[in-house]
Amino acid sequence: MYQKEITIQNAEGLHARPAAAFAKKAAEYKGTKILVKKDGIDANAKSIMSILSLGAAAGTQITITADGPDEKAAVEALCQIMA
Amino acid sequence: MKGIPAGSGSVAFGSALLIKEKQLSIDKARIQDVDQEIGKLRLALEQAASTIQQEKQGLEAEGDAAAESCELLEAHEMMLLDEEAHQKMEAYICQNQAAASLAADRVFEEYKEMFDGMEDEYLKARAADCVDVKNRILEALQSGSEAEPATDMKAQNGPVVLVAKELFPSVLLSMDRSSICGLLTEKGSKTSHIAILARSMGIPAIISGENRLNQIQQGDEIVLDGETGEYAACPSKEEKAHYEKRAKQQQEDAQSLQKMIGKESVTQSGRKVRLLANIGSPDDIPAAKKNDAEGIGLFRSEFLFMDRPQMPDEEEQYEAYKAAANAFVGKEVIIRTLDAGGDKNIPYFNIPKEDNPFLGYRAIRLCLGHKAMFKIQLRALLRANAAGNIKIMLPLICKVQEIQEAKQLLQEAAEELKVQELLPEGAEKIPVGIMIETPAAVMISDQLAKEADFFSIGTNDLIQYTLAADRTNERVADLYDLRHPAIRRMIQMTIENGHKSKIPVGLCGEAGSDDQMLRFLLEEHIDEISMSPGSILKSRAAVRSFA
Repeated sequence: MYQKEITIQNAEGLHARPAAAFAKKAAEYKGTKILVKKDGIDANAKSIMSILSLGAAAGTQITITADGPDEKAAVEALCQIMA
Repeated sequence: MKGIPAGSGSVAFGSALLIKEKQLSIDKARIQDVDQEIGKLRLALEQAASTIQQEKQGLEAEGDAAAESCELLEAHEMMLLDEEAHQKMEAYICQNQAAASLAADRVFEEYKEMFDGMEDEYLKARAADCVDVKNRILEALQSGSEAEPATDMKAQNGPVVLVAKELFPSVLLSMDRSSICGLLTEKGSKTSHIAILARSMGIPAIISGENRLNQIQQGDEIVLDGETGEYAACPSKEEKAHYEKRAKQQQEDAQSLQKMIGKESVTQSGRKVRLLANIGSPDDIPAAKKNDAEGIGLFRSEFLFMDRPQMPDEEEQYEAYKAAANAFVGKEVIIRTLDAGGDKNIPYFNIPKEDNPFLGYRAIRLCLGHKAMFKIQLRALLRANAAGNIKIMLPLICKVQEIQEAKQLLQEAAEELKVQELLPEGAEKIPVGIMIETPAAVMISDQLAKEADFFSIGTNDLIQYTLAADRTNERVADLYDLRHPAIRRMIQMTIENGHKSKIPVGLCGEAGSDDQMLRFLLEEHIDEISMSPGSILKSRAAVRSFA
């Protein structure tokens, strides 16, 4: 398992286009389970509905956790989208 | 009949094409074979996705004008293909021995409710998307069992007006849009997707209100006036003549206004005035450009701060201001600092409820009371001033000290940025002007002119404060009058005092689209007038007709 905590820098937060880009990227890592955690709530990183339901605005702290063959690459790639 | 105009402002004639509400059935009975049902669901999802793909390809062929519609379809596609939604639907089928249609209905209804309950306007609007996506799935599930009675457009000759209780983007996008000339619906709003689509298609859309369209029959002649919101079914000869005249007039006006692009705003005797655009965000820049604005006379920065849970950071503000500055290099871009409070409440400032918000803690008062927040805005403005064309405008000034205090803060911000090496060369020479929108400011405009680099008369507030008439109270609407002699004298005095100190004086508000007022302002030697982009060419035509 690999995880990283980041603060959302993107001005729109995890809304709209960033959420779509995020979910699309996550879906590329097929065998790896990826979660986004905010205030103790888990969201499936590969699901745009799940991500949107977090309502994460700019400046919020989130933790991205991945478990599987590409765990490290997946977390780093996703952090880059939000930075 | 009259409704709310939500699409483009043109007049359209066509025959009614009734879009019946789709009878999408939801099967509530228990099913026997769970695996078979999951198979049905997967097939339907694939089908719905390929329909979206086809619609998208059709739109892509239409080019840039359809970009907004394309984005909408992409959002729908992602929702449709969503992994979590799939898992939820399949789990629902397994646990309840439910039909695929019931599972789709329950899962997307749940999502809809979740979005409905959100505060963020963007996320709230996703609720309608959930309904649309759900309908797509239900439709795909049904098309397996019976042939879809597609709405037959070919039977209609000539342009059609779609008439419906409520229209969803998926319906509109699945049709041949070339023959649709207008939309008439009972439900909707100016910000609904269907209105946005209508605007991007350049057709009028009118929202009539509940139960107004029951009488309209298939094929009835319909006329829509997208500007006024008026519509008629089976119009009489006189009505038809009236709308035909309006359509012709609109066409002629639009053509003659286009001729004003690139021309100077100058009267026949050679008096010049600059006609600038009011904007609320960088999204309005294309409209300002298209209408040949001679700069930005009022960038209402508060719109960057509204409808969101926290304030925009320095970076976001910087990007917005820079976009405006870069779009009008060589021309002035006047950005008004945060004008919040009054009727523009911003929740995260936690301003306690006031008995008299218009006389309360708002605009410059609020900014000087939240110096840290104000400094972020000033820093963003300074950083964005690389091209040297930004001007800062302070709202609701009543005292000389308010300008001095703001300038002090601006200087601090500039010094900080210099140390951080973030200050573009010469950016600190940014001019600082003020809004003249209180009677107090008018009365001491001679003193203010020594401290400010320019004046801009804000008629909206100046009228309400001078005539003691709340501009949001309909019962005193007749007092709220731009042409009242008191307002004219206020304007005269401000221009005179500004010019005595050799600073330019402008005005922002819709006064520019009133011919009589425009003439008066020119006679008083106003330097510039800022208005909504759509009024600029019309005002230029008026200015050029003056002696």
